[in-house]
Amino acid sequence: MNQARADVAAETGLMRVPSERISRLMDLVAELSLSVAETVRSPDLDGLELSHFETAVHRLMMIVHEVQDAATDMRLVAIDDVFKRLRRMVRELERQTGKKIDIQTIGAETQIDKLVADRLYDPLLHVLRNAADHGLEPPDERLAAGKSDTGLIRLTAAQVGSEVRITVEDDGRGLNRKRILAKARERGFFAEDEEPEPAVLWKVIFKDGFSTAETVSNLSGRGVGMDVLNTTMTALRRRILVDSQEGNGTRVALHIPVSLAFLDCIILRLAGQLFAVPIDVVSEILKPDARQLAGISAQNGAEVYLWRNGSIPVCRLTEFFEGMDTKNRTHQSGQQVIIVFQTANGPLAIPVDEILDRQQVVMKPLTGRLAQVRASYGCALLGNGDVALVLDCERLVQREGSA
Amino acid sequence: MTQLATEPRTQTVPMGLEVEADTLANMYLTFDIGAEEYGVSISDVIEIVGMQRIMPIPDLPHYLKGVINLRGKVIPLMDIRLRFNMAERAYDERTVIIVMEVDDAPIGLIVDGVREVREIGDDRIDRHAQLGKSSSRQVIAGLARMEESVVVILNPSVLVSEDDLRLIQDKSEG
Repeated sequence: MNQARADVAAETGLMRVPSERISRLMDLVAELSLSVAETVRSPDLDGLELSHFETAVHRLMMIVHEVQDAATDMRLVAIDDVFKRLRRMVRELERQTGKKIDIQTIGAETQIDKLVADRLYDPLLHVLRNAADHGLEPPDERLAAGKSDTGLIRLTAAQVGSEVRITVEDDGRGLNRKRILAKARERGFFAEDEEPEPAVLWKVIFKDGFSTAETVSNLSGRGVGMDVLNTTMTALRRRILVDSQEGNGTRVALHIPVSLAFLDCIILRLAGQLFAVPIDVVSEILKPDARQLAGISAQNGAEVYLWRNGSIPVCRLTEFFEGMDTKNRTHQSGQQVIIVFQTANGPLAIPVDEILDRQQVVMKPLTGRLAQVRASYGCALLGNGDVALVLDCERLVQREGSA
Repeated sequence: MTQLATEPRTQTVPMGLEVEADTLANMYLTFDIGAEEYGVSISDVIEIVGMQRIMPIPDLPHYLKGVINLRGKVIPLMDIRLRFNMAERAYDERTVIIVMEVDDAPIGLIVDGVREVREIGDDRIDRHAQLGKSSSRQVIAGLARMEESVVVILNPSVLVSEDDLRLIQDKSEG
């Protein structure tokens, strides 16, 4: 039945399925997993000895997880399609810039959610254009600098945990600190006497309308490209990292979750509110004693957590976020637990009242007024119907300088 | 209160006129805030639900109380009293949430209670009521003069975006 829609290619065993059918299945699987969790965690079961039931529940949960994985897998495609389109674009860029460009791709077989892949082309194209237009030098300049006359752009994709990391590297002239800093000061991002760290400075190239190109070419330099990148990447729950060395090229890395639907999280409670953090950024969970937390008045009362032979900056969510009810404490601060996150800028310690659970949550984007909540990927629906805010730990660190 | 435009309405809709095509356009859900009656166009309303457990979310203005999970949808809630700087009032059995879709995003309005769905012809709504500020985007779309009362018709888009509040702030700063 319905053979018109699902046409099967006999030789390859591939089937064309409209994407909305897969989306429907994904939604149903999400609802299924929520309602299974709701059932097996029902308060009606509290205090009952149900050994057969427990075994059956265990099996059921395993199957639900597998169904989730299988449904997620259906939407995975190789990133190769995106890379191929970018390759073709490089030929075009060569013609337009008069530069010689060699493009290498590594890890093209890396799998990624089709929805993510569809939205990756534009941001990656912008990074590529910038590399070709501003990064790579013309052949004569390259030869003078002792490089081969052909510029190299390398696209790499690799899966690390539940993230896909895509990097675009060029061996061009690198970002010009002086020029970018001058422009950033002109735009008021930094004070005249401020000397930001490279990683902080490079991020300004993603700001709206930022361009240092002296001449606006038809390729890039209008300052809109990087903003497109920024907007798309926020929607994809990602991170962008930029690294550059004068004369030796620039490296832009995009970290993107493999799938946008489910997320393996640790659930935390602080001041009566629930938060979730993706499991792969949690490095330690510790019970501190009071001597390990030190406040430094010279740094506006910034706190550090003394651990092993070093110290970790502390971020109190009750201070970071507006309007958290600090009176609504179920625990004394002496009984708090410290959770240490791994971020691009090093570890970060966050005190919480309680660690509740580890579970696979269903992600919902922050829409409408919720979009103004900082440092969050979205809302997580928990098995019991509660809603937790999913923290983006990278943006907890960045509050100074790049706000 | 500012005086309303009170031209006598000579044009009345003749009885039995075909109104089916735009019935929704003239239908308003009205609700109570204190002693006042407010209305929103029924076409923006998705459903009305009873009070539920609200889960607080940080980083929002005080009148956004948090979110509810409505059958898998996360819906932020706006307490209309707090939004209009009125006294806070404990929620009771009459308190309801009007779930609306505004600018492609869901929002739930916490109101003292719903009244009814009424048909209000455009000729009854004074859309040019000048309430203080002039050129700003106003949260009030118009005032509907009914036989026994006045219904304040809200502009949900301004209500949610807080454009009107921003203007007040700009003025006090400038």
